[in-house]
Amino acid sequence: MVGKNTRRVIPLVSATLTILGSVIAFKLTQSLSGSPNLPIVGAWMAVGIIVTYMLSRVQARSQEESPEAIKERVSQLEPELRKQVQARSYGARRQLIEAPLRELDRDITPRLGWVRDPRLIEPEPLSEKVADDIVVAFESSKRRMLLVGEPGSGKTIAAYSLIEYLDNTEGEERIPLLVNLSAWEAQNTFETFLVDYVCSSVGYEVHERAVASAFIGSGRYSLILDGLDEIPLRLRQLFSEGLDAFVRGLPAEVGVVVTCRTQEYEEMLAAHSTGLGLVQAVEILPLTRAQLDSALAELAKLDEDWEALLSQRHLEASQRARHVLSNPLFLNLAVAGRLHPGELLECEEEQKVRDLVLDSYLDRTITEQRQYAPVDARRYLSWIARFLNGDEVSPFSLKTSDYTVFDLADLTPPDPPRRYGLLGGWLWGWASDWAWV
Amino acid sequence: MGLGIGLGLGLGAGLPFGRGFAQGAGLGSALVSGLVFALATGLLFALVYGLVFGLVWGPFKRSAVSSRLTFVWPSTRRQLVDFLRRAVRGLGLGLLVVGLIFGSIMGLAFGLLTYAYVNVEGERPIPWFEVQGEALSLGQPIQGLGLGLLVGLIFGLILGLVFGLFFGLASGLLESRSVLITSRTPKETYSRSRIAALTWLASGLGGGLVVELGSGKDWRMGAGLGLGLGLGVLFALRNGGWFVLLQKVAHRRLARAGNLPPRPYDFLEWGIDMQIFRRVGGGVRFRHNLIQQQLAKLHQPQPREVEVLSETRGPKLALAGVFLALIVLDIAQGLWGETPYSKFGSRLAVGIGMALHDLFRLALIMPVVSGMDYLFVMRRQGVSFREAVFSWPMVAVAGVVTLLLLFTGLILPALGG
Repeated sequence: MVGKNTRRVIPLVSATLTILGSVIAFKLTQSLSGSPNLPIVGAWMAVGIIVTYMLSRVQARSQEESPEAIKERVSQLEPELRKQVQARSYGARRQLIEAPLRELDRDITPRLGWVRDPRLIEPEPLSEKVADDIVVAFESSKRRMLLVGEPGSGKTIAAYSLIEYLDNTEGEERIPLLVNLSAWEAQNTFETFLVDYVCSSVGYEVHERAVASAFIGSGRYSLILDGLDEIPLRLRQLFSEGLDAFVRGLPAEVGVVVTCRTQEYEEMLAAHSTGLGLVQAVEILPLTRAQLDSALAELAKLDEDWEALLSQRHLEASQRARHVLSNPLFLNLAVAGRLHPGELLECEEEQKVRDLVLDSYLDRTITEQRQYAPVDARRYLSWIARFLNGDEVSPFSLKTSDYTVFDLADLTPPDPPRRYGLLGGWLWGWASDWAWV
Repeated sequence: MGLGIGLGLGLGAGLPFGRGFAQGAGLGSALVSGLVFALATGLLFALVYGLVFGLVWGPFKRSAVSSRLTFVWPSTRRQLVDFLRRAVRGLGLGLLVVGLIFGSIMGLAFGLLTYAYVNVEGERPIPWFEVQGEALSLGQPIQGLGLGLLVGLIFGLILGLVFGLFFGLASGLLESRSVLITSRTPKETYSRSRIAALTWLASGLGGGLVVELGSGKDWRMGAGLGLGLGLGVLFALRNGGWFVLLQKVAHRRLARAGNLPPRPYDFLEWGIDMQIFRRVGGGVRFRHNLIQQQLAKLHQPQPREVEVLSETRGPKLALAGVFLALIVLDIAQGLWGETPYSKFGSRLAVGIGMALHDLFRLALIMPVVSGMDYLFVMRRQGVSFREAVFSWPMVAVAGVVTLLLLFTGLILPALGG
């Protein structure tokens, strides 16, 4: 390690040598040939100036990368990251899908259920009273928990609640770091992935990799890994192995929470019986009959047609609709899309009920605006969805870098295609020729 | 980059210099000398540019997306002080580093070249170097070397001063952000890249203008401006320009295909406002994956392209008919009209020549007319350039132009035109 004084002395010596060397060259050539050889003197000076400047630059850069400087920047980074995590998780919760039902003033917090898995270490016993408390479940699972549930059951919302809890209780010691697993690109190690994510545009856009790496190495965070099911099937085993190795090296107080859809989790368990070294898996269950009745009764106060789902619950169509609406997401979307309950009862299959809820929500959102023609808006949204699914490519034949986050920067390559470079070169040549000839 | 610029400039400047050096000799000697000079000068320039740009502008070589340059207009006293501080630092850096390094190396290069030139030039005087009112000649190589060094150093320092002024201005207005996270909306990323690129372009043009106005009569007209424009474009492209340009191309193609609106940034903001998307880092994601899958499932093949193709099919055929009619009528005129030739082959050649000439004129007029039409009228209506070219109004224009071409070809000779 080069000391501070040595760093100061090196360019000073270089500058002195440049000047002294020039004088010596002047005198030496004068004494040898009778007259000073100016080209030699000039060349010495020029080389000396360049070497001195290069040394200064190298030193400046190495100083920026010194451990002390990086440590200081990591401490500056932490509050910035905290703000970002807050804004993306519980800070934005009110804008999320759960918002419409807030007006109903009914408790529809999803219940939790244990997923029995022989691999898992025995968790702390959990009382029935707190079976809907995600925080208690997290603590009882020794801060290493897998959160599973059906699509729309509220996994992400539950994860945001945990982030809020962790931020409030141990904010000084650790940051709850929210990571979307859709960005996983089969990196060699999980640590590399985390550094990549913190630096990426879909992550936290930290520009200095050394700082990001130091932060990840510090262990001053709890990990909330959202969307294991968004990792392509072929990469899941690699992810599971990478996460296991990483989690084993973490201190016990560092929390790790992974969210995943039930079906994908079961598939992963069947394919790879070992992996995901988390203490326990918790499943988010659908709304109970009482919870759903309570919500429907509130809705019936606003639109009496909802009463049909309460009074005709013996009908098969009603049961189909109730089953779909027991999912918090679909219940919210049905309310937000101002769906007419009669339409729900007309559907012959459960999938049609789901499609109806989603379509009515999208239709209502798209038609209640004047900026874009609804048909155009739907087509644009559809293209973005297909681009994210990998079914469409950009005009430069590029595929998305993330299956859930759409970034316009992904449409273009980081460097211009060769033909553009050639055009630029040709223009430059033309301009320089014009200027100099 | 330095090597590229150096070789470009070397070929530009070295070839004529080498040609001048070998004046009077055979073509082969001139060419060889020219190439040798071009290569030598090019490598020298490459070294200088590589060092200067690599070292001085190295910190600004960032991709557009991760660019940390922010345009700051000094509106408060504090910002003004900061601006002046950065501007003076930039000026100093430009003057000392660029001027001194460039001046030293250019001085050395000019000196050595003049030394060599004076040594081999023979008895002929060198018109552009004079000592005490007399042109240099054989036997005065040291004076030539001294003058070359002096001229090179002065040239380098002037260049350094000009670069320093604009580098200072640019570094004064473009602040490097100290924050570690630069989370921004896609629109911000784009507009910042555009501002950075335009600032570099304007700085280059401004610098070129100063060189142009400040240079003597020896400079070729527009050379300074050309140099400034070239450098401006180069730095603009490297500092966000490519990103902006490629994004423009991508947006235009997607809008033309009907996949995204012409202003996609506004659309994403709209989507966030409508709570269809939520912001994640520099991008957006659907509020829920089920919504994404539902939209992807409902996708129908884009009919617009097919519509465009079928809409332009008629005008395309009609335009082909107009072109064909012009060819046939010109050839007919050549064969049976008034020509000074009597042989069939000669008359056919005249007809084909006339047809080619008219086709060329028509092909030139059409893009100009349709381009103007597109720029002033159709673009606002969201019509693509292809649709503007292959449209019925353009068929009418082409028909009228064809008639005029044929008409003037027939009438003017008759009127003695």
